[in-house]
Amino acid sequence: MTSPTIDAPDGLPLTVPALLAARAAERPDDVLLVCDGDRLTYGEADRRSALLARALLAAGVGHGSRVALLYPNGSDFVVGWLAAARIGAISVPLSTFSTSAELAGLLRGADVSVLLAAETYRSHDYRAGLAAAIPEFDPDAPPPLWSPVVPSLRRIAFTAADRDPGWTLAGAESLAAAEAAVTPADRMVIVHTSGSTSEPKGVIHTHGALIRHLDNLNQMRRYAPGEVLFSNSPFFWIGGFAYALLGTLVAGARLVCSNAADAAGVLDVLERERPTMVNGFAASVAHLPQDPSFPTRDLSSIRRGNLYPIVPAAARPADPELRHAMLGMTEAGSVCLASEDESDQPEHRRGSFGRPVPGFEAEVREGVLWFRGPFLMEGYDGRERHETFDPDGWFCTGDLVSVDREGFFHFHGRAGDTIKTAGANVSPREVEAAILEVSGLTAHVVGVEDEARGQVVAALVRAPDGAAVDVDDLRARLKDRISDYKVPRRIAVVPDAKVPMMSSGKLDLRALREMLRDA
Amino acid sequence: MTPEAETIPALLALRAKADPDVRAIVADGESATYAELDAASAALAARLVAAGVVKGGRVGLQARNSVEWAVTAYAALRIGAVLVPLSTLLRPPELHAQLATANVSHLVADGVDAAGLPSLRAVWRTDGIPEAAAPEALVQAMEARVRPADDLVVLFTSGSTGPPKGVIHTHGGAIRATAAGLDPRGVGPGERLYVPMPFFWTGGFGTGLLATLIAGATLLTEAAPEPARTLDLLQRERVTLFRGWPDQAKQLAAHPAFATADLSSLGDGSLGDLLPPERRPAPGARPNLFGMTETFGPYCGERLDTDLPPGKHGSCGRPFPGTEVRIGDTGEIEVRGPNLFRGICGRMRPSVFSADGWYRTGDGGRLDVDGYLWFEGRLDDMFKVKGASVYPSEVEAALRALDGVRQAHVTEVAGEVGAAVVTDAAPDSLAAAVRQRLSSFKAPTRWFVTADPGRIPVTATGKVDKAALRALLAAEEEGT
Repeated sequence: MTSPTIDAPDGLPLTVPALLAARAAERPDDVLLVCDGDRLTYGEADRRSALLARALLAAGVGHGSRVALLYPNGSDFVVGWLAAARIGAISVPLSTFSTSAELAGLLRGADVSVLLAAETYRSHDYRAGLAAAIPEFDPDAPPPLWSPVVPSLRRIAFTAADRDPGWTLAGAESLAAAEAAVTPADRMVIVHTSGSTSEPKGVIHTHGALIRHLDNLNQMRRYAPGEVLFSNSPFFWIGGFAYALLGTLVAGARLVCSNAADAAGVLDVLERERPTMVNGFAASVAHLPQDPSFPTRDLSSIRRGNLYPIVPAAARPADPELRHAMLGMTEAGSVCLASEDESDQPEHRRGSFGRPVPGFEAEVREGVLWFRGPFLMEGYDGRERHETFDPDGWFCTGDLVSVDREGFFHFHGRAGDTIKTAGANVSPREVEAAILEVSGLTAHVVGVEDEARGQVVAALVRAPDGAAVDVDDLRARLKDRISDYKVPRRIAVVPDAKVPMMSSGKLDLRALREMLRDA
Repeated sequence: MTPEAETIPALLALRAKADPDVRAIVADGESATYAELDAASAALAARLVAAGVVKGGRVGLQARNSVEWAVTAYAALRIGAVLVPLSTLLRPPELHAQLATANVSHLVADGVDAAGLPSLRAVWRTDGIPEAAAPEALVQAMEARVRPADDLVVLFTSGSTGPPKGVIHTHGGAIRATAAGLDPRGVGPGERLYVPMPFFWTGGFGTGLLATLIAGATLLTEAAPEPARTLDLLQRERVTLFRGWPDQAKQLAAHPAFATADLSSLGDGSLGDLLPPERRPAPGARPNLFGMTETFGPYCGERLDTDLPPGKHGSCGRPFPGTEVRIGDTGEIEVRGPNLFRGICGRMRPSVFSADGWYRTGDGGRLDVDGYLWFEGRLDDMFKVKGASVYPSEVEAALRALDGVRQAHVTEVAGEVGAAVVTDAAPDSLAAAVRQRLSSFKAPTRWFVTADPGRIPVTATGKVDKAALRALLAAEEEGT
């Protein structure tokens, strides 16, 4: 049974420590997570996170402290999150795409006191980058760190306690007491998202609300023990964190993911781990069918899910537009519009996103979707409730929708100017600010439609009269400043006089998009 | 009024700049100007940071009103730590429950036994905070990070049953709520406000300490008011607003030294008993500023120095800007708005607020056609003893936990806590035992103790007859 309220008489543990204890007792040897060669059973998740939790306690981390996690998908992320949650600390997952400047900004903006991080990932050297962005940070000096750049940050740890015997541990009884003090009302996680401002927004979710919400979603998608879910959504955003990771812990199921850089590596994992369900953004697997080995791969274990490019033909919809799609957002703790019905729909429901999921009251005001209910975020970090919710408790999503006669919702894009590219949100204001910072040039940033990614980031850069602008150089500088996915894929350099303006003196956005579509 | 800033560090900086030589607080022979308060709290903040206090960390403070209390509180608040003021009246089991509920990590208190409190990292005596200090630049950077949305304080208020009720206020909410009451109360620059209410409750912390900080006024207070000393303080400091307890005002007026005391500086917003007869308002003519911990002090009222319009005497006045008031179906006063508390420790939002943001106060009342609020009593059986809330169910639970107690019934008897208990234990041992478990103001002072359950009056439906019980207790001599 789904429940529209957090409390329900079904015994679902409503805190992460209680949930983990229950799952580890039920199925200690079942696998919780497989990420390439990295495997974590429920029992190991319990033991490893207990060790790290005791180390965090000894390091002065406690209830309400903010612990940032900078890891790609894998057991280190999971153990870090579980350890923090067990002692009532709030996890702050950070995007591995972040540049050093972005990381320092997030650590400062979220008042993080401890950062648990990988040393490197892909092209990023976080140790060197953080040392450069935080002048007082010396990786070899003992904590506490005292830096006005990140005034709350006291410790950066590249090797967590469960693998470094050098950490001091608090007693097991201290951990037990700390776990007992965690309540469903406590904040569990702050997930960052881009919005209409240049600063990323930290979205706060509590233990009880997010766990209940995921239990509801699991019932809708029939995600239960025995199922194996493949999802390559990153754990540092809501889809990976909630719909994949927390959902798996709630279900007592198994999550499979891969960080392999090449398609063949991901396909190897899919063949070996035999997922039954696949979920996430289609863009995350769009490159897999292009691999030469794809036709010979056995993906027959996949029975359902929305990553249609890798779903076997028999389970794939004839026309994806005739399946209910899902709408998710960070503020709603992942999915908020969906349907339990996974079959092909009649033609008149083409493009449906289903209905509001349990606990979500929806209202459409002038074409824009508003939500209210117990599973919405507690709020944005650092903003007062009345800045985010109207007096009656409604939250404006900024998504344009319509509702058909049967009550099914249809999504028509964003009312605001947030760009949605391959599952990531990008704020045009943030990109414009970065261009100004690295080049001194004024730019207008918009999203331009793109088949594979939904939208791509595009920038019209104003060149002072007669000046030449080196676009490649601009891109290279931007990559040092902002995450790769925020760097404009299309850049048009236009003399001031050629910038499309309307007679009102405002920018002509339609003409701007036309120019950038062709750039 | 609208506050000039909505965080404590911003207000402290503003006062230190605008009113450096104005005295912020005068208490028991000590005082501090705003410049001194700013400097002392900044220096102490640097020591708290060095000792491991972080933003969002909960810092408990258990002490009586003093300049030191204000310095310690502002030190924690200016770096974004959350203050947890603790009553000096708490008995050990109550204190432990509050420390656990608020997840206090660092406690400043004298003589606390911290055994069995694993969340507590350090317990310091008020004069025992370690001397090592963090760099000034770090402290300033932490101050710059404090936002109106950040938690300011966890204030405990009596709850009917279950765990203690820790009410969480943000900087923005608490400061706006306090500012909304300043004009009606007449608290402005140059005023010297006497508030003896303890800083560990809203009355002292909000309407005393924060009110004067926001207004740039001077707070006169005392750890333990005593009539002769209080009169001396009021004269010496030329108090302009006396907002002590009504009983206290009567006591002062009856004191032999009152006749010769020069209280000519007192403004009309003061309690009437201390004003010369010709300026004394008629009973009920001045509004009853009405509020609660959840609203961080009064949320409605009218000017205290002016009589209410005819027909409005005895009312609470109209809601302050920023707080909406409505009357629910059962006659309960409900409030909502951006100045209210953020939540209650350990309670999920839907169990505290309605979906559309209303909080049920537990107070009965009505709003008249002109928008004046009239208080009509509590809807539960909570009652006030000298301004402090007592929940009979909490006292009954404490009594029932004692060995040999078979029944316990608690009710108000003429401003006192009355208890009827069925037990074979001796009444004296009962009173002593319950004082170990409850704050002194909650401990019964009127007793009816019997070994015979048949002597407890019940109604026809078998429920305890509280009216008959009250009569029974009123007839008893204390301690029988």
